[in-house]
Amino acid sequence: MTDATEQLNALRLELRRGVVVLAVLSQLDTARYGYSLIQQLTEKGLDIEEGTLYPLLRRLEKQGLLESEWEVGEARPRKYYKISPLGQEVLSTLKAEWFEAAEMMRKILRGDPNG
Amino acid sequence: MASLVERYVHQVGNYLPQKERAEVEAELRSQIQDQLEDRYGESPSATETALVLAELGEPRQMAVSYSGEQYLVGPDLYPTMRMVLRHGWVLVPSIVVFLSVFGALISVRQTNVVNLFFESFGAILQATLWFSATVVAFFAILEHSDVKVNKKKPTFDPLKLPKIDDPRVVDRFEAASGVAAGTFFSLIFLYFLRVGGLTLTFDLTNQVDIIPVPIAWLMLLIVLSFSMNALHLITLIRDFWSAGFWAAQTVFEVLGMVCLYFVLYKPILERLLIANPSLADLVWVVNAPEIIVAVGAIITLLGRGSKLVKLWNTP
Repeated sequence: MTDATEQLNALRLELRRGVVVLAVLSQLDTARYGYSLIQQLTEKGLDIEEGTLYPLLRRLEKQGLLESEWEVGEARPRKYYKISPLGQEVLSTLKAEWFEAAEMMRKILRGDPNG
Repeated sequence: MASLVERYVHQVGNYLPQKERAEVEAELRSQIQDQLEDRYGESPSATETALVLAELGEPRQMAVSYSGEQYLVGPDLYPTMRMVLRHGWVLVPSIVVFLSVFGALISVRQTNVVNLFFESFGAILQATLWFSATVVAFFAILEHSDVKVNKKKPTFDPLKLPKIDDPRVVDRFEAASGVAAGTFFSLIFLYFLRVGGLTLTFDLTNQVDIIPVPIAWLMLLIVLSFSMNALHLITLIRDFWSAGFWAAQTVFEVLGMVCLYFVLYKPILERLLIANPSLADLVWVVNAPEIIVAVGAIITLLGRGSKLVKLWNTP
């Protein structure tokens, strides 16, 4: 792998990091288990690796943004995650900031003279 | 045999703090099974399972992701650091023991074997701590600098994951302390051979109060001590116990106990009975050397025998 590709990959990863958190929070208004969330995100065009998502869910839970519950009534126990009240607050703030930032970046990148 | 998923989950758990382990393991297990079932149905083959696990990445990398990526030495450098530490933990105690005993021999200060033992033990602790701290500090600096090493990482192959409770796994602490203790006692026995018997005085120029011992048994004991050390060292390098090595180590230990009977217990008892003839009336004192050797041999054979059977049955 060349240095330029390596650098590009690192930057891409950095760029995606914040987006993934926002995407995950936005999809958990109904309780989901890890793998079903991956499928949901993939359907919407966001490919996320299992090795990234599973630890992320746990971290967000630790931060109080998600709540979890073990469902034992199924064929095997599954842990379901759902956004918490604090997560809802954070999500609405982040969403507003995301739209603002996206608009700003659109202006910057397209060279809008009113930007 | 535990399934590949269990082996993977177990490895990840090994790198996690105890309080989080069970929860993360349960979660990860269920998530992997969801993924396997979705892709390959209810009975995925080992190759299919390996494919899914390979996508998840190395167990250590996965564990690091769970711990929030706050690490002193990251997953890229950690294996190298661990290798350096492992080798050091074997070499440092042996070198310190050798230097302590050699230093005591050439020193003008008189000392005895008991003092020398405790001094060596303290020196081992101190040197090992310093060595470990220096190595960790070096790798931590390397981790947080811009220097890139080990760019080409070997591809993670889940089929090569270690088995859970594999009897071949080497307890490195036990093996390393075995080498250190073995070096110490081998040198002490060599000293006894040089002076011709047991003594507590560690001074070649002033040999007093020596208890004579059968030299043939003492020589056999020295050979056994060095052989056990060699076995430990080779095992540490190979990083697994084989049934043959374990059996040899067991035989050496039992033989060593028999040698100790002739070289240590019996001569000391004889000296004790000369000093206190009244003790000869106490049956358990008179038979103490035989009892010690018999009990020691039984404990060794029972303790090591079960592992030997497991090793023998491991392909």
